[in-house]
Amino acid sequence: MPIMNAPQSGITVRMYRQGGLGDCFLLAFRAEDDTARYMLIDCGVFTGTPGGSARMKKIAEDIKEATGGILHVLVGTHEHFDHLSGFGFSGSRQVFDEIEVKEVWVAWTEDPAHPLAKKLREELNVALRALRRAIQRFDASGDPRGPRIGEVLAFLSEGDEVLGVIGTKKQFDYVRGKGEALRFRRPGESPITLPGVQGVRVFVLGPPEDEGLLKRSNPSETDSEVYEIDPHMGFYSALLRSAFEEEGEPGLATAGDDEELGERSMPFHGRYRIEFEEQTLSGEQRTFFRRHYGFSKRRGHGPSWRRIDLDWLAAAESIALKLDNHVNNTSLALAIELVDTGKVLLFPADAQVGNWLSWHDVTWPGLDCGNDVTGTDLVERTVLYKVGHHGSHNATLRGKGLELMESSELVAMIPVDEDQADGKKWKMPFEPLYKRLKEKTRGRVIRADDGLPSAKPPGLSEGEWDEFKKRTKSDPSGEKLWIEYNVPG
Amino acid sequence: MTTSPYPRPPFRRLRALTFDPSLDLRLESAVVNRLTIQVPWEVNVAGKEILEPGPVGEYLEVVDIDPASGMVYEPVDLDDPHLLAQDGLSPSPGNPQFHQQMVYAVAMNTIRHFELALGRRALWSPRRYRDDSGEWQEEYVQRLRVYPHALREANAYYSPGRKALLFGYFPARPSDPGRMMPGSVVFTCLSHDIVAHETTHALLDGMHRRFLEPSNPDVLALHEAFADIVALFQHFSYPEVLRHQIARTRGDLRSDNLLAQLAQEFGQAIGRHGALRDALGGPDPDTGRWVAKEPDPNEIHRTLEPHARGAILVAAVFEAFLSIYRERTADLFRIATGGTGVLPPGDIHPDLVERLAQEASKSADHILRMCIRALDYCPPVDLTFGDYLRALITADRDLVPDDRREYRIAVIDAFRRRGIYPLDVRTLSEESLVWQEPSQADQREFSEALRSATRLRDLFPVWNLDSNREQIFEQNRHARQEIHRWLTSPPLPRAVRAAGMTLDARDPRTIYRKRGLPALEVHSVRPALKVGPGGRTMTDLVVEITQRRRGYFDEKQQERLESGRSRLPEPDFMFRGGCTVIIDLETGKVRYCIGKGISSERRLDAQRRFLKEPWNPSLRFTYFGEDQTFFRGDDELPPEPFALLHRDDPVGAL
Repeated sequence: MPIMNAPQSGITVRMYRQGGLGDCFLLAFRAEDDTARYMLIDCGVFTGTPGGSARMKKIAEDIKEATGGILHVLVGTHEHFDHLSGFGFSGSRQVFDEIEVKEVWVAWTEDPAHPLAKKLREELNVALRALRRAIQRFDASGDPRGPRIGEVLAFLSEGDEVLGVIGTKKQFDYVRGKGEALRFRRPGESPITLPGVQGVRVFVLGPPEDEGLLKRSNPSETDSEVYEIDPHMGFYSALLRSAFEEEGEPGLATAGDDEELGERSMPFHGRYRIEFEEQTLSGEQRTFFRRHYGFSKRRGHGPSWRRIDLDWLAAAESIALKLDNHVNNTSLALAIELVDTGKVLLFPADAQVGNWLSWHDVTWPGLDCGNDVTGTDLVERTVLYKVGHHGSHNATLRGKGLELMESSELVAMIPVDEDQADGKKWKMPFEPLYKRLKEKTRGRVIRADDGLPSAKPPGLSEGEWDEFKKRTKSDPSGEKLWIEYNVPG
Repeated sequence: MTTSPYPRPPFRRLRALTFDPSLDLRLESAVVNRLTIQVPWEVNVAGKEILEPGPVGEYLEVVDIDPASGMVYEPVDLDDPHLLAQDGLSPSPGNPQFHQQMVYAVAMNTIRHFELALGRRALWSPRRYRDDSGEWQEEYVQRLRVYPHALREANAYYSPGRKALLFGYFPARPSDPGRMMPGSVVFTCLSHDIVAHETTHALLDGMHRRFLEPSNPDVLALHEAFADIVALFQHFSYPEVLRHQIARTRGDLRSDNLLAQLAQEFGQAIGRHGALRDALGGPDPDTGRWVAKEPDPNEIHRTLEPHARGAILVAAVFEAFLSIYRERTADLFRIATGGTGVLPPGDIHPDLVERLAQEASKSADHILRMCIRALDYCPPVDLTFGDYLRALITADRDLVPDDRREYRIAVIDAFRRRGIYPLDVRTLSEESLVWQEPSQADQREFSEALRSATRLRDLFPVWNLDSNREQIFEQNRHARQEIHRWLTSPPLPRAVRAAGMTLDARDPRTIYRKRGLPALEVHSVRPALKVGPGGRTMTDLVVEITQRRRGYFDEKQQERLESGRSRLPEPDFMFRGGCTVIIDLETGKVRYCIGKGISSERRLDAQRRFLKEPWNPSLRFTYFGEDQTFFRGDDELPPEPFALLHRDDPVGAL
């Protein structure tokens, strides 16, 4: 496998093909001394992808060879398995061990000293603990909702020793500790230049330092923040109280001592409460609840199809989705600009609605000869769009996103695996979005699963099609590890 | 309380909250937030008193288990002399037994409104299950189960699978801590409106099981709208709050008032500025001040989320009510103002308040009855708002043949202003909106199938407000089987064709079949009241017939399968046709035939497009996939359609 050369002009973007949902992009820039500089944005594949571990090892080896073992920048966009697991599988991690990384970039949300980041992290941990309890309860009753929630949370996997993979949190720790320097990136900070590279500036668009926007993942007007900590009476306290009672796990850090938590997590005063156990109920009560609710399948017990023992836990499904979206929304979103032409490569990772919306409020005052540069400008100038979140419905904003991208050169890269998504009944890519992407790019959509368009899309002229073919390249080896596109300068 | 020498009271008086606990904390509304509801004194057909602790009665069983807390709460005994002597427990959010009493009282009140409007007893939808041989069975469900503390979340829903109402409780997260204490517990079962709304979902499901299937954007929206309408107009049956609000608004019910709002506390507790929904307006996003909402005929085209779309229908019905109220009170305002119609500043006279309240109450009662009765005039499947408008107009004309007060014009006008039109009429006049009578030729076919009015009448010896509900259910089942037999053995394809259905083997082969012919289900049979010449109350018979057909997302595949011979694969979705036939029991003549054809390619295609590009591609759609949002296979409903609706979009909660 040969080295990835510095492009004659512009930036070359290599999208890896993991054989499953996941992001891994290697970018090559030309430095002033004509050598190449490399930036790796994420490296992961979805949990449970068959052959994922072996494939990631090959990808890591390719990265090592292509870069000569030096990454100038490693970007970890957010803490999800499908973006980081290349650093999790022991095989590929060992390859990364041998790669030298100059700088690591992560979002401010990973900064332990940032107060909002800290608050969000605590909330996330409480919610995760509660959800894992909910899964256990479902599993104990053989209820299919347990595995289903587990699947959503798989983005935040705890790791699996048998498969030789460490958890997502540890993967991110690995990334953070990998470079000679660790940078927490904040939206609106001064554009970043890459050492030795002229004519390229990197703008940080998101994630927003605004709790409201961070928690907004859907286009609807208001989105209730169900994963917020509710120390009393709420959904989590019910789950964590039992965790404390059964296993001595600590309750909620914010709720004072745990005895108090036990009392305050109850909606009614002790004099009204009766433990829901067939044995502890008194004669008349037992008869009532036996007849009208039932404890077993025995005769005289109410029918089981009307019981609601686990229904309250169904809220865990929505919470799991919201958590997942929330982590997506902490994505480090970058706009890489070619200064001479103003062209932009947009890498939003898995940013969702709130993150996208916030870009339009980011301004770099007087940056270009006294003129302001705004997030909106950068989106408008996009010529390469890395499609967010594998092309799902809520990770590409329409009016304030895709519709603003007016360049006639626009190309989209979608790191998607439709078969895997289909198997999980996920709509990736989401059909209406995919259709619009094809219209906006006039067919220049590059997919990780299908590769390049096989024939000239009707919207392109022969000249444009030739140009596009010239600028794209597929891994010539039988492995078909990647597809490249050289963004013209 | 089994035997007593004293006459039995007709009602049991029970205290409840008029709105919800949050109104207790506002000085201006606290005085009217107490309500005593008169619930029928429950006895069975044999005259035996049946209300047990729970309360468990004829229609409802309140079972207070709180699985999240691992607790149960003692069932309240409303027959305890101490409670009988003081109209039940006094309102107290801290006492679960008051919660049980209140859900029972409000739900019973809702059921009673329903029964009075329809003139027959309410039945819950039967439990459907597959027996050991895989055959579908229907089982009578006497009581709707009510769980006042089932969930720990900002949610409450009707569960069609469990025949139960599940109410949640949750810590408040108000946007303005000055109006509500953050973290204080909000019990959805203490909201009059939420209880009435969820009970109505169950009542509607008991009448129209297929209205849970979103074959077009209006179906679920109508479920929500209807539940809101019943909850809203119930406010007008409570005299104290009605008088209070009339006095406060000086008789102008178009202005900001509590009667037009739903679920105050819930709305604030999830961080909104006011009630969850308001039929008249809402807070201005910039100033936060209440402003009236102008009807927008294009809103219906942009609004697909069921609650929001339903709100358009609710606003139309509410406007119709206001027009009627204005018409009925114009003279009172003239009398009170010496003919100017312009009120002097200050409070209005208490006598005027009283008279206006009476008129408002009558207008509301009329509109509510109209809305409920219209349900007998709806097609059994694939309902649209336009169909509902036609049903409203037809139902009202059957009850009040002379529209002297122009109520129907008020309804048509309010719908028109919101762009709600039926697709299949040429003009918006009453004459063209009323469902059409069948042609002479069709009438002859029906007569052949139904033969005589006597034969039909014999199917229904008892069905009035005193009958035993289980007996009604069994009779209904028997009547359905009989009518099915009349139509199919021997097959009467022409009569079935006249009803818009088919028994023709040449019709699309994706239609489900039985013994080679398209299968037919007599879905429901029930009586409906109307007023005949001379003001006599008469009974019509409503018969609903349905058929189903396999639908495929890929049109080409559908076409191929229609013409081919290959085995039909599992469908992607269920496409249904159905027809509501309304028969005059005096003459045996079919008066209306309200159909949704099973062979309609246009409707099939519309449903396919609707399902493929769903109204709200929620997260769940991306992650949990279509089995949650689509209705696939034979009668396999997703476990909790209303819970999903509510959890995905808190804007349209409940």
